[in-house]
Amino acid sequence: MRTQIIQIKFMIAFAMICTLLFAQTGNEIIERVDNNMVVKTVSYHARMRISLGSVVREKEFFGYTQGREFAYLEFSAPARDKRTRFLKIGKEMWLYLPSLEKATKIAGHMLRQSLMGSDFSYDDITENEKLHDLYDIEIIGKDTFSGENCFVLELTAKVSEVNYYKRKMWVDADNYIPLHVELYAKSGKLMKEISVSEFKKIEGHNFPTSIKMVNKLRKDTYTEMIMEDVELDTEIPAKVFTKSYLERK
Amino acid sequence: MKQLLKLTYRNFFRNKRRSIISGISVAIAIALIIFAQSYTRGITHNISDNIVRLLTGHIRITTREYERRERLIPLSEAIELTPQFYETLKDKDILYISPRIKFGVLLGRDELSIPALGYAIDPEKELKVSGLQKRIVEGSYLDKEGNSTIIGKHLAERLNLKVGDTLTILTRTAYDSPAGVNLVIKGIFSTGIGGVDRSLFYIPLKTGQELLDLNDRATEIVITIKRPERAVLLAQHIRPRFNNYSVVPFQYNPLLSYLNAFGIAQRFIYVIILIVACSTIANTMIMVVFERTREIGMMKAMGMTNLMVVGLLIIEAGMIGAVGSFIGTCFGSAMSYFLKYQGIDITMISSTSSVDMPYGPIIYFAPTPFVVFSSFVIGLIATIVVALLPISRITKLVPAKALRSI
Repeated sequence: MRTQIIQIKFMIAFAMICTLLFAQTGNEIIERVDNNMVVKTVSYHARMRISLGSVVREKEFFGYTQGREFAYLEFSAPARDKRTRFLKIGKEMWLYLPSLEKATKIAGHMLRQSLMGSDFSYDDITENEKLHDLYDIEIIGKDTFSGENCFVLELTAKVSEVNYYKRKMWVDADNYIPLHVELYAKSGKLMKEISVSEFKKIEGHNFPTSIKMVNKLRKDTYTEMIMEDVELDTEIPAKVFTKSYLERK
Repeated sequence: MKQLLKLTYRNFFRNKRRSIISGISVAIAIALIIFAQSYTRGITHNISDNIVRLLTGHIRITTREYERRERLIPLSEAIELTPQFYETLKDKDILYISPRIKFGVLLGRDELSIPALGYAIDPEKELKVSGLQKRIVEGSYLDKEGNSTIIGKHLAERLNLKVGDTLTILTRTAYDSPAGVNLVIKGIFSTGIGGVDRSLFYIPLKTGQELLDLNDRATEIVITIKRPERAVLLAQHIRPRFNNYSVVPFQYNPLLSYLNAFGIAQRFIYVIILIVACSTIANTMIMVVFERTREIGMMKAMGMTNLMVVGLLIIEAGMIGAVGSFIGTCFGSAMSYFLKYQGIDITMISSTSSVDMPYGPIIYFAPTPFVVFSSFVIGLIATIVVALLPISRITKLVPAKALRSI
């Protein structure tokens, strides 16, 4: 009888240790994901294919991001959108339209709106924060995605200022890239799905370069973004993140 | 019969004060009913006219999806303005066809922070449809093309803008991209409707199409027809030609449907007013029957039938009703017809109203011969019906008993 009690106690202790180990592993996984995704600076050229049912619209832009505070985007194609620029400083964002010849501050709630008609929001594009600092992480299983072995993690917000309350993430077990992410609102409603189909090893980071975003709140749309000429952790001139640079002729 | 009428005429003046008070109460009720009916008809016409001119025309065509999500102003749900579309729409009853694009914006001078509603319109076609050119109070009407605008008077005041100033607007295209334009204010309009003057501005259709990435498209097609009362029939006739479009006559506007429902409730109120007024007649007739019990007994004893005695008193009540109704009809219709041409300026009230309740600025009363005549007849009939109850008592009177009563 005594031996049985000791066995049960041992099994409970073992289960608890395993659970703790898994929790640590969840945090570790996200830390490794953050190491890949969150960079000091990034500059890139991107092509967006916005599929709106039967219509496909293509846009091109280049962007610079520095830490979590600064981001700059400028559209170069099509002609209609040429020289449309965005500047994010902290939680504030300005829009420059060549037709107005001046920058306009975008209200906070508008940052969650579509970026140039795509499935990405302004916040999605300029996001550069460590998930580890924002979410409680739990491993909920293992799965395969696009033939790759993945950890399936569930991230629940531990701070109020997050873009999405919950994220379900399929993280490539070898390269620590989130191959597929489901983004949920606090109500539990699935809002968006992101899939990474290609990444490149740049400056020691596994950085996604081909991303597909599906906004589940829109009907029959998705956006593919292909990033080219990606440079990580390079020096970006400070003037880029200024209003005068945004409003330059 | 002649004797009977003579007797009634004498009875009518036996207690002048009582007859006059009864007559006045009927007159007031009838005047009130004609006045209220003319006013409500006038306000319904006014709202209906504003809805037709500024919002829907006599018939409005949109895509079904646009109509379903109209509150969100889904620009992507636009109609292609092809020659085939106009060809399909052709009908001998149609006078004018005007495409419009409604769009939401943020606008301002230095900071774009005021939400407003813009309409891109064909300035020439709208001359006959909305008649906005008549509402310009400063500057001039809209150009056919170019970055010009006409804006509501209160909106201009809010932004401290005048003719010749630049208004900056920020919006989103049909494909959800941000778009903006600097517009020169060509004119300032005043419709007297608060919601319109406070938050609406108009730009040329071509400018709107370019701004919103809607080349050769519009979100609404507004139609004016020869005989507005046939809008429902014509809409039914046109509808089968456009499978995916919503073809709606102005009578189906929710606000007008609500007003029609309210009209039924109003009739109920008129009946109550009439009953209250006629109760004085009933009261008079009760008094008459009590006062004249011996007299009635005498008449019956002398050979007058129940029918004759009842007839005598009914004619008396009818005379009070007829005179009261006539005076009320004269007074009510005189006031209503005066205000039909003069109108009541309600700018002070309407200028604070929302665009959902587009009434004002001047309400013209709308009395009709039918309203006037029916009110008179109803007044007359109601007094007789109400008087019947106390009068019917006398049929049970036994002459001998009646003669002994004090």
